[in-house]
Amino acid sequence: MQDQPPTFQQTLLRLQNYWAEQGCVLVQPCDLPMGAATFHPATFLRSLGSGPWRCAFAQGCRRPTDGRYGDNPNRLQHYYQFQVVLKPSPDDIQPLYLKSLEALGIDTRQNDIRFAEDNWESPTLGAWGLGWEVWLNGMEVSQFTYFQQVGGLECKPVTGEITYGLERLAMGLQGVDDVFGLVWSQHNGERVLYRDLFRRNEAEQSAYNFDEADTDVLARRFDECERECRRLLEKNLPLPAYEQTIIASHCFNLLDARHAVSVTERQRYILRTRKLTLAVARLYTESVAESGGKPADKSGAGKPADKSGADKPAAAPPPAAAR
Amino acid sequence: MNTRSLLVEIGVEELPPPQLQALGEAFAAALAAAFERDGFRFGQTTPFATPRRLAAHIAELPERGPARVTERKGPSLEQCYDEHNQPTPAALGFARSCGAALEDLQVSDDNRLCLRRREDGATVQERLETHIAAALQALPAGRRMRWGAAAHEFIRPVRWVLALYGGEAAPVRVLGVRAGQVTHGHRQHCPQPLPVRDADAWQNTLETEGHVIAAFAKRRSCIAAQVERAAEGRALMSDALLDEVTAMTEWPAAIAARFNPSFLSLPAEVITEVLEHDQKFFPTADADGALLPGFVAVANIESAAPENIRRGYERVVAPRLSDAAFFFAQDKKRTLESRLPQLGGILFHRKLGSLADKTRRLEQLTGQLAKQLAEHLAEHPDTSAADAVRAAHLCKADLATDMVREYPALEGVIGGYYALADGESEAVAAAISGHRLPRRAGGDLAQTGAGALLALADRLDTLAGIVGAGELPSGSKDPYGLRRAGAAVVRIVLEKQFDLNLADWIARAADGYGKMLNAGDIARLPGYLLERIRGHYLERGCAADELAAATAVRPLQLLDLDARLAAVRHFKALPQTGSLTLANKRIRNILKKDGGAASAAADAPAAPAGNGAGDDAESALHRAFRDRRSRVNDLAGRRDYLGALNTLVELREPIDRFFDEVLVMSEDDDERRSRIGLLREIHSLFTCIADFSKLDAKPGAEAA
Repeated sequence: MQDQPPTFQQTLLRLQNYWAEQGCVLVQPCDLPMGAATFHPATFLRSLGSGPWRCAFAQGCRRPTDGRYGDNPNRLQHYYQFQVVLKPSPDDIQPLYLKSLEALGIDTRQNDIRFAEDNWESPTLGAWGLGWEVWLNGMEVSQFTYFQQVGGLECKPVTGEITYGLERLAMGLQGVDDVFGLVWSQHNGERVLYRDLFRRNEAEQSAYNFDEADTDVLARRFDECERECRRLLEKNLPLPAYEQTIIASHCFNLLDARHAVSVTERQRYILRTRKLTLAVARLYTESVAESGGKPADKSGAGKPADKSGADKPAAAPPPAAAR
Repeated sequence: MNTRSLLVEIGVEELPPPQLQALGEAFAAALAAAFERDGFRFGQTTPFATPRRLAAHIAELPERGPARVTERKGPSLEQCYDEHNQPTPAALGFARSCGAALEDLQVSDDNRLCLRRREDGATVQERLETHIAAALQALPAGRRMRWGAAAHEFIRPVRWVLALYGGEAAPVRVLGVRAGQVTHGHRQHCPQPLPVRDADAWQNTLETEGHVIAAFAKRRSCIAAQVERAAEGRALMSDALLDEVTAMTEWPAAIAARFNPSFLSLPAEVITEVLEHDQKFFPTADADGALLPGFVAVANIESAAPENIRRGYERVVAPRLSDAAFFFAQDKKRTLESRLPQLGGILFHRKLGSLADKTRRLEQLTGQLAKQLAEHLAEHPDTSAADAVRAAHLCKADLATDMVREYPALEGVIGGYYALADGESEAVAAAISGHRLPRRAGGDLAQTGAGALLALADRLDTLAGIVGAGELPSGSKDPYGLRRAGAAVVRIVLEKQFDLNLADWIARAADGYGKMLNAGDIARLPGYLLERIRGHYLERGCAADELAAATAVRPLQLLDLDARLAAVRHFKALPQTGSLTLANKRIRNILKKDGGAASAAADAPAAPAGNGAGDDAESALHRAFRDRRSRVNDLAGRRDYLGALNTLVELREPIDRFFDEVLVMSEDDDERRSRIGLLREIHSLFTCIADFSKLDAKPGAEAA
């Protein structure tokens, strides 16, 4: 490792630079609450269909049940993933990944780096893949997955997904044992720590997740998202329909954190979300196929939807940019 | 013919550790078998397996397989010549299509015109690609995957292939990858491609230049030796973990590390679980077996800065242990008893209710079992029925604790610790702790009688419920671990000498579910258990025919079965066996043919009827049978099956004579019925021990 370990933001910048050089589009995080960067449309939707795609982005992820009111040095209800999506997965995907570690200042000849079997399955996304978690001296710092199925559809070609756990990685690089002690940035001797940015947020959000979240509201919101998603699917609008499933999924996670879901209910919620994502994936794939394999061009879809003028997050660039 | 060595290496991205060694062996065996089917004769086959390669080395493989004669068949002879013995157009046409003159054709075994050609055997190079593909296809791998844009499927992406026949690289193409001249060594120690001189040099080149120990067994013993050396105190190396670590390294380097001794206040099982299961590290212990605050990790690299790696390992272990310590302290703030209501919220199975329901059933079943086995329990002062029932009451409560939620494998063990902390008796705690044993095939059983009894009740309840809910395992899928549960039942009953008939206890366990279970499904459980029983004995070297004979009767009364099996084994060693086995087969065939027509009641063997030539032999058998029947029944009733058999063996002579001199299927109805009746009685006397007709008849013994 280098003498001066990288700050959190340097880690992020280096990863972005490195993957940009590998031809990845640096799309930005999705502005919806989600449990993993896999939910980002640039991962989930873009791994459908046949078109090639390479992107990278940081994504804030929320896992309400993992919150510890900011008291645990290793557990957070909000943390960052750095996501790399390579479609089709290149033959040298593992060497590419190892070089990214070198770019972060990790000497791969001096550290014990291991690809440990870890297969992935997401019932809500109707997805599974095979791959590994990557261990850096025993610590899991990344997940590595070859998507085989997404939204219930076979992935052809296969997308390779690399997900760095940025906090873990930074802790390894900076050699700290407490996530709140991570140096986020350093400028003219002035240091900003992870604690300064997120400690209070962890405490308050944990209080919301575990104690305050209104379970009736959440259950209702889930139902509404489900209805809205179906309605949008009928209007041939897979992109906004998909966003409803992301919101629904987060509502479920919050309900779970409040222990408001029994075992059987739990299964039912998962199945309901899964039904939606499968329908979205099917419609999205059809509409992509109609537009000649270019996911950017939504063809006939969404004519009535643009009128609202709302500044909708662009999972794909807006139609105007496509040409 | 010239022979050379063949080396085939499939380079892949990191393979799943649990299957690795078996995959290497299966690949080599399949490749060798394919050449063998072609008629090749060759030397030794050696398998290799590392995380990034499967390989096989076949020594002294000839360049060419043996010549073969191929036969192409044409029309039948009748169609080939007309009444003037002139060739028909069909014959001439066939000859033409063969490009041969009619005179060159021959006649096949089934009288058809045919073309025989002697063909040179195929060369190694010609067959190699097909054989590699078939061997890979046949690997006993779980899920396969695709990668990139291609349609090929394998366990993990294939990145290089090396196929050397002697010094020659075979130009095969495997799963979309063209074989080259090079292998690849360790990722970090040898980043550049590595040329290999010839098949025999491969292993050594990889080791000396590539930093890869390719042979699984060699790597494994290298790891064991290194860990031993690195450990302060004694390293605790389970076979399973040693296998797993071997499957995760190509160039192992053991590194000793430590954790804060204050964590030693945690149960040893927790520390071991954190180290072994989470991190694949080896725990260490002192001479008395007490854990030490150190562990040995095996890196897959010889680092210039091993202290960096050690610090990393320690940094991972510490928070896990402090998490566990936190759980341990938090969990103990509440008693197990107070957690019982929570079990109502944890599903056992969607059709079968919650763990609270299971607990109620377990208490009942354990109580019933304790009553049945009261005598047995009385012999063991460590156990009382009350302890067993109390343990049944509490044994599932640890599933509601944070510790078991985090470390499910510690179910039961943790409950035992918490029970002691709650002030439960040692006996109750030990029973809770032992109730999930054995954890794996061949693992330890619960030490106390109460623990074993509860363990048995738990398995019986699960088997009855899950099977009764229509979830009998099919194929390799066994999500509820019923195979393991069944095997555990067999071992507990046999090793703890529990005298009970499992057929009854399946029914009792099923009763606990009230009307929830499907009778048709539950009826399949005895057969399923019988399979586990057979598996148990076969694994321990029992002969299949002895097992078939003994399990034909009351197979689910295990102690009884065990005694009868021993008697059958003894019987098979006797000189009289051959003819008695044949006699039993003969009797069974006669009875089978006679079928239900002559039903049992009608067959009571009266005194021999008639006065034919066979009368003497018949009445002799009658007498011999009558003299021995009650003695056999008496001995069998006391499970002295050896004694019973020794008595039955005396019937050999009269039976043989009977068959020699008496015609069973007499024209005379009465005579026939009476003879069949006698045979039926004899048959049923034998079959209170085993169905001897299922034994393999030894032709050699017949003469005796």
